[in-house]
Amino acid sequence: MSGFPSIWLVFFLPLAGFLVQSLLGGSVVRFLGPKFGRTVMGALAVLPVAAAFLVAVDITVQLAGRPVGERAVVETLFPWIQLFGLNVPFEFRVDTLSMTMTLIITGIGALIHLYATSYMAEDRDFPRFFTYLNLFIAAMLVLVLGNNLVLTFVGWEGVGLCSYLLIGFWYKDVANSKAANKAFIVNRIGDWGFTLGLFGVATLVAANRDLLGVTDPRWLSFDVILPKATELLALYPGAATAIALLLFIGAMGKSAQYPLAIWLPDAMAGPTPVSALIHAATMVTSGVYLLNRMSDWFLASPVAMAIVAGVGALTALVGAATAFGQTDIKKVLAFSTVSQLGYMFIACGVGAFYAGLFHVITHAFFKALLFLGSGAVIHAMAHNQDMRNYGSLAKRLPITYLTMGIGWAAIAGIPFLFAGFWSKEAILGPAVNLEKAVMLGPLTVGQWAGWLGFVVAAMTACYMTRMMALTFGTSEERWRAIEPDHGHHHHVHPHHHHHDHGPDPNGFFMNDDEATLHEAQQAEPEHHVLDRNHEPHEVPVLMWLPLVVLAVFSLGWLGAWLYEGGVLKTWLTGMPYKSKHGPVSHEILIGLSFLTSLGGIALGLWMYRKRLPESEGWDLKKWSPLRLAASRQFAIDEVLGEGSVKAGGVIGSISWAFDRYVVDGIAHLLAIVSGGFGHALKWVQGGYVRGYALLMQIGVVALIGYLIYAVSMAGGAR
Amino acid sequence: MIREQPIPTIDWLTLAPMTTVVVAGLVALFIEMFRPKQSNGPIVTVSVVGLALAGALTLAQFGMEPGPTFAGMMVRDQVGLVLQLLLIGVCLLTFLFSDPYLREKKIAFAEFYQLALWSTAGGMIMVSTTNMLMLFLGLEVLSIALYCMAGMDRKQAKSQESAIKYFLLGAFASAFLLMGIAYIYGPTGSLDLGGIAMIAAMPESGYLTMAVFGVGMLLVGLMFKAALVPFHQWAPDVYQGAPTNVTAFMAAASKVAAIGALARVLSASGALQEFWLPALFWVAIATMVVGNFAALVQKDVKRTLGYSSIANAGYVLVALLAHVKKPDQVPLTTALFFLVVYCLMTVGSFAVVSLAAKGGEEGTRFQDLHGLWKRAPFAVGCLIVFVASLIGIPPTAGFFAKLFIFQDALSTGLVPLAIVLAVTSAVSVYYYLGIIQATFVSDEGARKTVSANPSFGLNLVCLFCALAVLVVSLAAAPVSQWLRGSTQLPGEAQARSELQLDSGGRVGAR
Amino acid sequence: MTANQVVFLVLAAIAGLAAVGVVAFGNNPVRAALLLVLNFFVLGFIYFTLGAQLLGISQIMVYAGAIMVLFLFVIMMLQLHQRSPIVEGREGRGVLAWLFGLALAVVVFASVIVPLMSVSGSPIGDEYGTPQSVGRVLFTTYVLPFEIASVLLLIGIVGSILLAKRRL
Repeated sequence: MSGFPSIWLVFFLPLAGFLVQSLLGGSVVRFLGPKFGRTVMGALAVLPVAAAFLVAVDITVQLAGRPVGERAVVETLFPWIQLFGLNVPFEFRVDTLSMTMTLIITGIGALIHLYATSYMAEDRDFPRFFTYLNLFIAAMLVLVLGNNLVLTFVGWEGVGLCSYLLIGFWYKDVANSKAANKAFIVNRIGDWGFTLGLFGVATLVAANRDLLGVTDPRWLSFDVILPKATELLALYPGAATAIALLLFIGAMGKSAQYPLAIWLPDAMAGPTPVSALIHAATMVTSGVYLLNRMSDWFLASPVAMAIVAGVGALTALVGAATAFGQTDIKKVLAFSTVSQLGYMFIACGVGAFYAGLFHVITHAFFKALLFLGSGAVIHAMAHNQDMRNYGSLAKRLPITYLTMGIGWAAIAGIPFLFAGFWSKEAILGPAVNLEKAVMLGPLTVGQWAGWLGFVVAAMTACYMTRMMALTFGTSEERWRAIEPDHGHHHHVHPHHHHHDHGPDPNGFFMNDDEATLHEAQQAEPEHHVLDRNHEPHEVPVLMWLPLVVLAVFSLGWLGAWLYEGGVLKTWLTGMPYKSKHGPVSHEILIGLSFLTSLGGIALGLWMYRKRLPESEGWDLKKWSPLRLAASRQFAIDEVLGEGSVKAGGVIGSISWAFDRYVVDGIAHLLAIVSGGFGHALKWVQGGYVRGYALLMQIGVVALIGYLIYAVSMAGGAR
Repeated sequence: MIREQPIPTIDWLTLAPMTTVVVAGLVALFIEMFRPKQSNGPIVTVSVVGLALAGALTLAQFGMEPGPTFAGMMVRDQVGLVLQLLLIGVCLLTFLFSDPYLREKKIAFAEFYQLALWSTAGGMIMVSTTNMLMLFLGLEVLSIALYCMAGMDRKQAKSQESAIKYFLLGAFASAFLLMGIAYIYGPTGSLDLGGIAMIAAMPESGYLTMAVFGVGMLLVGLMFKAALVPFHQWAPDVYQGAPTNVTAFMAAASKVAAIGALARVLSASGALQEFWLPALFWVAIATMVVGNFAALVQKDVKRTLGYSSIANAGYVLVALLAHVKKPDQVPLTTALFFLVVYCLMTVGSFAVVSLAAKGGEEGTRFQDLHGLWKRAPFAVGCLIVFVASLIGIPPTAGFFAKLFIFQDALSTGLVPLAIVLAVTSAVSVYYYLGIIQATFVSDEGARKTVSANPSFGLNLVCLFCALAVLVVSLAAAPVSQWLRGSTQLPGEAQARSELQLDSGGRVGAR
Repeated sequence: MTANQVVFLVLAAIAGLAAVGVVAFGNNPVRAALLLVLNFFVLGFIYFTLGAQLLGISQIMVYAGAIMVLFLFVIMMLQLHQRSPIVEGREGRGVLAWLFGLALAVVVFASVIVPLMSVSGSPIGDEYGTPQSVGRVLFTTYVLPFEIASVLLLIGIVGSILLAKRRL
């Protein structure tokens, strides 16, 4: 069975892109001038990812041509860690799951890169942006392709780092830096779980190598630990639950499940392409990937599965409810992402792992579409993100409107014609039919989650309709109400108007004077804040082209093809598709989908079709208490944030005291002792050559004397 | 009747890298003779090309049949090739940032390049010979060039002082080395290091004491060069006084050469280790302790790094001892790996420190580095990498280098050495972080001099060293795999049958 | 005791005393240099007694002749007869130095020299040490070290120019 050495190309292309961007980006832009230079560097950023996508397609086609049993190949690049009988090579696993993820990452990644070349075209730090973006692609590929948990963890941390860097990309604004910090810190909690889970897996496997018949030193690799997992875990039910839960904590952090979801809405501070790529399509789904990869380890613990489903359902519900209270277009999408990620975990929690991945795929398309669409709107509206300033944009941004409309229909779950319906169907069907699992009252946890999922579906349809209507619908152009110069009730993200960037921490890029000069030379006149004189225009072709492509993939054909006949399930699990009949029949489910999606849309249209309701306007006093609560995320963020800060403060002062008096005491003592020793040595180092020569002489006498003594002891004059 | 001396068989390829470096120096000398006194560009170019060629010639030899040539004057083996390559690399990296530095310090001598090239050649001889005459000559070529380079900054008393100190003590150490050679040559009539094993194999000959004495003297000479306690005191003074680019070269190249030669001598006298091993055991402990603790109270960055290089010599000595103790079980790879990493970190750090020179002035006290972060953010970023690696923070290359030594020491029963290594490494965190801290302090009032803007070459050196440190840390296993090749030194355990104890034939090794 | 040994002991005693004198007359450079000439000269004789003719001749010509004359020139030109401006303080280090120097001598003598007293060398061939045989060896087996030594001399020349040439 031949391998797929070209998989390294998929990884190295974005990595090479990263190196080119980081090392040459600044110089090229300086050399060729900002406009042409950025075009060149933009092309150099897009091409590696696009090429990687093509290679990945080729590999996937080859993989699909193989018999089911041979669809997993391990490619080793070099031995990476070799310690005490453990060998962790730098190896990639080419199988159906990893290639599916790779296609999403590189495919959608390439589209979003293309979009970003236009979106970021006027940014000073253009090469820095693509440096991070290309690095992100490379790290994400390590995450999904790595053939052992250690490598997955490397990718896991790598994408976390890139996410941090990109959220805080416009670091001049303190709010952005804070958002980046928050994302990073919350993710640490998840990483803590992941690390402990990793150690748990390692310990369990190491202790049972004989049982597993493992002779390979690569005993952390997936091809070693996965096949025998079920037998092993049957012996250790407690450990199975613990490991599954720890890994799930990791997934919760990265995939924004409550209570660790609080970072994702803030992460929208980053540029919109970043929100689309990292915080909607790829990175946040890595938790789902992890659960899919380790599915046998989760299946061994019914309790853990129930918790996964429960957390997923709760997240779906809370996310959807919160979205009703948002007026920032990106925040709405952020909470809808949280909510949709909840669906994916419901799927995993009821054992339909492939359905979770199915939703990852469809969601990647339609949510990236929606985010990029929102980016187009924001771009057209002078970087104002508040929907209360929008309205009646359909005729001004027709392409954006149409493509986003498809995305809206997909997420709302309009049956048959759009992708979202199919994946939602694939999740909720098994969920409401789940019977042998942990019970909660009359129903299993999975069933509760499934029925809740239908409620959330209706809510989703409703709030997405709200967003679309407020943005594109209604007849009023609300930004006409903004007085020039004193627009006090809207906040403008100031990033594009900065001419006083501080020293670039990377030092690669152009220096301040040159950059400011270039910036001033090509400053565009229409680039101003939003006020009544603003005239929105359709975005450039490079921005709407990706929208169209994504829209095509958000249509129903993709979902129907993957779902009907079980193409995806067979592809991922290797098992033939057979439709199971539970207590709730297929027809009822479709009926329910009709009801929830169309009902939600109708409700939304009824409320928002004409104009922005008074009860959601600028005056927060007129808001209903429930909506006000939703706008504040039901205080989850505050409680968790404040609570953890306070608790952290207490722990901090205790540890400070400990540190101050005990640790410092010891450290000072040690410092005094060693410092004294150092001073004594300094005294010996007097600076006179004869002193040095004397010490050498003493050394020689001691050495030779000892040697002679040793020889004579060993047998005299032998 | 005069005996016909056979002309020894010569494998030119083995000699080629060293010869290339020497010739590059000669060509550079000629260029200097004819050039008007404006630019060192052509000299640097010729030097770099020569070094690149020598590097290529060295690389070409990897995997070739190891063996001696020229009647045993030079040998080709994995260890020698790796260290030769390392020396060439060190010299190359030093050259890349030397020109702007010399310009800033207003040192007008292009002779630096020729001397450094020849010095490199001397080091290359030292690491790939088993002949004691060649060893001595190599050492002298390396050292005398270094003495001159150390005193190159003639306007600064410190530079002059360091040169004379280094010269006097170096001569003192060379005397011991020569005496050691004499004591081994005496009984065997052979200048080859294999003679030691021969004597050890025949204890009844009565020459054992002489051999042990000779080995001890040889070790003194080499330990001086490697700056091992108690033969270390020159190092901080000379490192501080010499121009910083010379210090970078000296710290890396002379350490590599000395450790390489030391490895050969220790391996060749492995049969006598029951005598010298306990002594070197204490030398290693003293070196690690003194190096790290004395560094704590230094106020000058170059001195601190000098003591740090002493401490590092102690670490690598541990690796050598572990190897000699169980040559079959512990390959020399650990020491090679450490040296590679050490050179990257050291040259990189000194390159950053060389920024402290501007307009003929140079301040290398800690407070002179204040605010460097703002003026040279990239260089300081790289410095952080080097320092992290010097400390041994996982997962930097320095961490793996120390970890391997630690493992080797444990597996060969040198447990106390492993413990001392770990403890003194912990102590070293304090002064290493002090360097980083100094660059971030924003109060620039205490500074004596304004630092130079980093040149392209310097950034290149920093980038290369930092990237290499990172790459090596990511690929620690494959790198050490590659270094391993076949790191059994020739002459280990196998007594050299072609050498016979022939007191009559004084001349001619075989 | 053979005649050979008597000659050697006499020569060795002169050489040793001369060497001590170089250090002892440290405050008078001319005297110290002349004693060094004596030391080199006697060493040349010792080489002769060992049968190393060429080495003995070169020792006398190169060291006692050329190098020492140069030394004396330099000393006279620099007028080093004034007292050194550095006054050395007594730190007890001198005592230590004597102590350890003596210890080294004793150790070497007792453990290395004494056992060797009884060893008798083997006779050497006729051509040993003659210019022809040394030349043969020097340009066959030892041609590489010979060339390296020339590099060493070149370094010495370049280095001394570097350190001493007047115009910077």
